[in-house]
Amino acid sequence: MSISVRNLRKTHGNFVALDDVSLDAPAGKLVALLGPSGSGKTTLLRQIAGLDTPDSGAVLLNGEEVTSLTPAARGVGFVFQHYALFRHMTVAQNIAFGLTVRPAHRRPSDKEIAARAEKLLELVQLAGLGNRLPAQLSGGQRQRVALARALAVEPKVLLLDEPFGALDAKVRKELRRWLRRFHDEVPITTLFVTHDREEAMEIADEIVVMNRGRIEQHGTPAELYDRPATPFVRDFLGEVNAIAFPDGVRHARPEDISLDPAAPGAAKAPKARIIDISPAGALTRVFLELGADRKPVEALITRREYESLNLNEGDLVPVTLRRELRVTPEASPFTEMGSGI
Amino acid sequence: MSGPATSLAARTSRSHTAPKLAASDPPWLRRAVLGVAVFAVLAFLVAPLAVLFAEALRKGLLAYFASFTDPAAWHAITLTLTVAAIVVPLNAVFGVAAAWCVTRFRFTGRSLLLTLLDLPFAVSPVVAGLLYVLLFGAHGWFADFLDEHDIQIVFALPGIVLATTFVTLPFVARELIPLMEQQGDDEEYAALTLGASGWQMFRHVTLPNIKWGLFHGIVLCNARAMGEFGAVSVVSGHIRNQTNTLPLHIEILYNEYNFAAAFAIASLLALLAIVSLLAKTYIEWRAERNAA
Repeated sequence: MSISVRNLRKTHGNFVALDDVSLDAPAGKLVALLGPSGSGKTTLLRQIAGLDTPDSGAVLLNGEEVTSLTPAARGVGFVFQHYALFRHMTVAQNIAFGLTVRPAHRRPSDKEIAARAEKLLELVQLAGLGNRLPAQLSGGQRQRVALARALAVEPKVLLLDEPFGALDAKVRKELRRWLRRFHDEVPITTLFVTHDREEAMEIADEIVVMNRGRIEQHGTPAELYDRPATPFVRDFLGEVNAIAFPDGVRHARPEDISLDPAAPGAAKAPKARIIDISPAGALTRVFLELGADRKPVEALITRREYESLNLNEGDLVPVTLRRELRVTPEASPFTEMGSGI
Repeated sequence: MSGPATSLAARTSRSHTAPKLAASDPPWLRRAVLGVAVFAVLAFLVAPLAVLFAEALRKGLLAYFASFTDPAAWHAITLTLTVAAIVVPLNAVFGVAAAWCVTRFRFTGRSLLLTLLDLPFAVSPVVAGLLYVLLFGAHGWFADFLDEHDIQIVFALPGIVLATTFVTLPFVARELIPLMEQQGDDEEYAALTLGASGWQMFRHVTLPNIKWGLFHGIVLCNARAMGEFGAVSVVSGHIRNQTNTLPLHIEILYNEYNFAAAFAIASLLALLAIVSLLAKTYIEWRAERNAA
């Protein structure tokens, strides 16, 4: 089921949290809302969920307007950043909550509810923990309980607010891979908020980059990385070097910088001094300073290239670009989809 | 008023830092400080309580229990219980509603509401009582209206209930506001997204989360409602067998030099205070265990 947002606007006093935001998330995709804190991504998620009402604009689920409906009537599953598990209920009671509060004529029997909860616990790999209290679980386990609880009411779309934000680095990595695999098994349209570009790049089918209450660009991770539509996206999606050539400033990702004197154009290229080399791992990171104003430049080259070039700290090497990173407005096909549902 | 959570936090942080600081002080100073504290507790808390019960029992157990069978005393006890039975539920409902408003919504007048909640703590109870006399008394603003409809407020049960409600208004709300602020509203929103109605959300999520704080507030509110003297003294009119609550009855007995009876009734209020404190301690212990 697709999620669409039309010209959404939300202000808090003088602060514009959402400024004319339009968005289409196609059915069955895992879409990341990526941006720095205060960019409006959580505000947008809460508008879609119905936890907050916009000043103007519309929210559509599967093409039907739901702007004035309650969260429950919209059929969205929402997972909160800090899980928001009911602390006095067991894990099984938490998961069953959405079913037990249904009016009698729509409520499954107690037996059925218990069976559903047990099945969901298996789905999120927590079988056997149904009688624990949330306080007795780890952060990663709590997050999966929150997910199971949201899924119990069979939502049409799933909204996750910083799902891995409160976890430590190792658990975060494991859990985001798990979420990706989980989404492949249960392909429900999912929108998740994150400020971590690696997280978004790794698991999302599509990324929506937000900044100051506006959408900067919407596209696949590769599109955003290689063809940013705005300088903000260029800088936010990865490290970028700005290098002054005689004919003007050009940008490039560290892996697109060559330090090879035999590269085409190297003879006329500006020269930079190597100030530090960190050869750990498969790739070697070379830090340089360029020109009289000692502008920092960072290059990422393969270990083999590093060895064959015989680079040393203090060396003066030519800097050429394998590929220039250009800001190409409206590069993404999604920004043109705005008017059609 | 600090909630169970805040007082717990204060206690744990104290137990972490206190040994270090105390250990660095010279022994004589530690003993002196401890001595002052013990003396203060004995002189100001234990001794008066001991005197109270000693005086109450001076003429023997028979005289002690006879004090309660006196019709005036019995009436004062019933009246006090009636007032508490009206005021405490009223303030429990109001306290939950006020705490809900203040912690779940941002609106104009919010800080005014917070200030108003503190007013009964800031104003002398006597002033509060006088306000009600000015409004509803024989020469008060609403005197004509009340006369026409034959409604008696001052020098009657309604006046006592009003004054007591005013004085005990902040107890429940003040207990709940920090607790609900700290818990946030995510769980409530989660319940709504899962399809719960407003009432289901309150009953299954909000109420279980605040129950110990609410109970704590009710215990304190009840203790104050039964023990309130100043405001009630002004509006009651001291009519024996009609508008005398327990504290007022004690004063009358005392002024009549009937010390044994005065202390006997006073011991009843003191017992109430002790039971309240025990209940409060039990609640904090339960809340601590639940949090662990």
